[in-house]
Amino acid sequence: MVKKLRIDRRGFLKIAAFTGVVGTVAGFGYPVYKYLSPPQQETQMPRSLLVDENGNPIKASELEVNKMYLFNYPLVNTPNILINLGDENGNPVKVEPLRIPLNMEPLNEPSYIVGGQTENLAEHVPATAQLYEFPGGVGPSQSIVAYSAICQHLGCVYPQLKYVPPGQSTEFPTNPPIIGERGGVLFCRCHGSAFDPFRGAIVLSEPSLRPLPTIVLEWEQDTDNLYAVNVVGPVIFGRTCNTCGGDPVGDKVVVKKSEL
Amino acid sequence: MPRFKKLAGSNSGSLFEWIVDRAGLKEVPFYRVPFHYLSIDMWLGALVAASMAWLFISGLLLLLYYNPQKPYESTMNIVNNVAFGKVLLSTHLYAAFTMILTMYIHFFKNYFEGAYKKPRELVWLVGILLLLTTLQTAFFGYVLVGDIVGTDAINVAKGVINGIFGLNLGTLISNMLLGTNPEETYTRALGFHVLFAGLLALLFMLHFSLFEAHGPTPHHKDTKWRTKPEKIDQKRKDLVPWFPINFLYMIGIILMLWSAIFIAVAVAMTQENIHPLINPLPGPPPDSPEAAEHPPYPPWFFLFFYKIADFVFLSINKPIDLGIITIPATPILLQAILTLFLPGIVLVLLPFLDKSDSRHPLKRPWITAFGALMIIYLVQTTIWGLLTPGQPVRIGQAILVMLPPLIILVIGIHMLKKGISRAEAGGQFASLLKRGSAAATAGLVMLFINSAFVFAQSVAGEGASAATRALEAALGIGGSVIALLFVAYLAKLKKELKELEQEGKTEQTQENLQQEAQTSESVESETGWLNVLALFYVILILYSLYNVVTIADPITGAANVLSYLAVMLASLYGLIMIIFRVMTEKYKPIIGDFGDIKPHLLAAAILLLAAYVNIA
Repeated sequence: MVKKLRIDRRGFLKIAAFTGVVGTVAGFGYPVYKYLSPPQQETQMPRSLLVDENGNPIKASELEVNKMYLFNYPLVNTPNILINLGDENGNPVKVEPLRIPLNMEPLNEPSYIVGGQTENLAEHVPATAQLYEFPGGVGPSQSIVAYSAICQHLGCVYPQLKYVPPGQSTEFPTNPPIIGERGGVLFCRCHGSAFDPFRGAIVLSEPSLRPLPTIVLEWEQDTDNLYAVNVVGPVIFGRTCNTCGGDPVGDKVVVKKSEL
Repeated sequence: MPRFKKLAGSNSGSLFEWIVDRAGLKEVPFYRVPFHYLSIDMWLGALVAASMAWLFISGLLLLLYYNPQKPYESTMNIVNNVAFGKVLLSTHLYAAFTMILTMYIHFFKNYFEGAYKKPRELVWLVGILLLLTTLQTAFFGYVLVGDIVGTDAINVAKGVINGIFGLNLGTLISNMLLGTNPEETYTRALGFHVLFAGLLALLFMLHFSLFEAHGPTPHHKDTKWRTKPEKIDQKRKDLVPWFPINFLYMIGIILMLWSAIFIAVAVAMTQENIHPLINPLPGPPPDSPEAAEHPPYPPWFFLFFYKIADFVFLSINKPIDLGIITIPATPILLQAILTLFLPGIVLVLLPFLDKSDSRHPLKRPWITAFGALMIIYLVQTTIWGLLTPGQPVRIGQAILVMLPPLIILVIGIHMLKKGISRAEAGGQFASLLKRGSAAATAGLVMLFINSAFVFAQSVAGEGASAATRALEAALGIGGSVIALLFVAYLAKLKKELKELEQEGKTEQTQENLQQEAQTSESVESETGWLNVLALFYVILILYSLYNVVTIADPITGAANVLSYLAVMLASLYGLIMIIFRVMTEKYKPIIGDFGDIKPHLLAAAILLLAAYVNIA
């Protein structure tokens, strides 16, 4: 009788100790888990005038065709590429608005919907796909676009990710050679992802499965000034939201001409 | 329960036993101690180590958010934006305070008990290095916050360094430690904080390994205060296995200390108008209007030297040409030599200066007096520095405060010493203390000494306002009281020694112990109440867990979170102490005496404080 009681006490204390230790570890584990999750400091999306290094506004009509320009938006540490798209001869090309799915299947035909149409024209876009509005080009020729310069695959940035204008090769052998609808390509040398600059940076080639985020630009016709106003498409790579994890840029962002 | 019979071999069943077997926990080569050694006064080092462990855990986590380019902003971000960041930062600070306090206790205990003697000289030396490294690490940590308290600490430190080493050498040293411009300062402070913390970890491992080479110093009841035997006989019959008995005890100590730290922070957070030196949260930034009201203080653990630096009568204000070298103007060089360097040298050389074969404080009277003076002067100058920061001290004031305790100590120890060499005489002073007239005599002596100094001072026309003089008299009397208490304690020790020596004539202590152990088995343990208590603790842990997880806002509710975590730790401590006690039944039956319920009283105290925090 006594012996049986002792065994019961042992068993009870074992369970008590186990519960106590697990409870306490959980009680400390939870705060540590919450502490390690970085706080979300979401700020408002800025509206920024694009200026040159001297602080003078960039004029849309003076942007060189097929030349890369770089600026940070919406945060001071999120670089973007600004391009006045053109053909092989240097004539600006109008870029149409599109509706683009957030997730793409690049092994199939490039999939997108031409803007303004309500019908689903592209066969490869499933009816359930989440779409976003690519606003098309701005400026006098509707040829100026801006995309995030952080690749959606593993976050390689300019100059690994760069614009190759129509007529030039990607200097990186791919088979078949990847080029966009108009010949130009946004190409990432890290792992070979390719995006079509003329069609909202949709994916031309894996490994990226998402298009590059688009920086929405506004062109003031009277002054010829350009503003960056929003980011659409997938969230900028490596962020939990487009304005998370850094200081937002101010009212003005400096645009630098690429040396490449 | 998963069965690991095949994995573990024939004689072990559960996963737990498999881990114990494979980790070799039962054969851990640590020194084993008798059961009655498992009391807190023998494990003070574990308290220091437990504070250090929490400092490393919380400190490494804090590194994730701290930015030396924006010291104050990033600290306030941890406090105000990061979930549970407030909990982590405030307990990091209080764990540092606890580490310094417990380290002083650990240090003085081993000092007065002569634990530094052969063969533990190296443990002592590394311990002294640990003391210095800890204070150094603590200073840089204090600076890192970047608030007014931290920036004041930088300025005070620069002033002290320049005052000790002169302007040229001093600037060189402070530039090395803190850089030349503010941006550099915090990067360097962070670097040195982590560097010294790493050094601390290495020195701790060395300290612990050296300690394990010879084990704990045998209890003075076993050695009768002699240096021999030097080690605990590992063939004694009443030794407990390190695992799980000693291990559980150590885990218990760690949990209790952490719980105490957490509840102390929780209580401090609920106090308005807490002094900035012990505020668990950062103070105002240095450029804010609130900062103007804050007098320039160093961290509290350096206050003692901050006051000693005010002893202007020791200042070298003009360069002194010694022929070979010229001593530049160094207003606090002599103070540093007298109160830091010389005692430091004495402490380092202590094991080699004191080679007597006794550990009894009265058999080493000058070392005992020196230690007691260190304590008294540390307390006096710390309070003095807190109340009158930066006010210069003249020689008369210093004598008024510091001489009376010295006189009382020297006279008291001398009288007790005389008594000890003539064992039967007993010593007049000690017998006075033993009787009820002790306090009256002491008070009279003290008043006499103090009034003599006050008189001498007023004759000399020194001293400032009445308030300052009253403060100094109070400090002098306070120090004298500590000195008297110390002498009284020595008198008690002396009486105990006499009893021990008389007991020693009958010898066979070990056999007695064995007999005791045998008789104890016949007493039946009363353990029903322990089961109820264990259930209560489990419920408390789960209740606290529920509260921690469901707290709506861990930033404004930081004090509540801290109190629940403290309750959780205290409950686990109580639970572990129950298991410890059940496992050690055969060494001492559980009869519900004070020793058996003490851990649960401690846990109850934490519970009460937690209740106070949650009501406040």
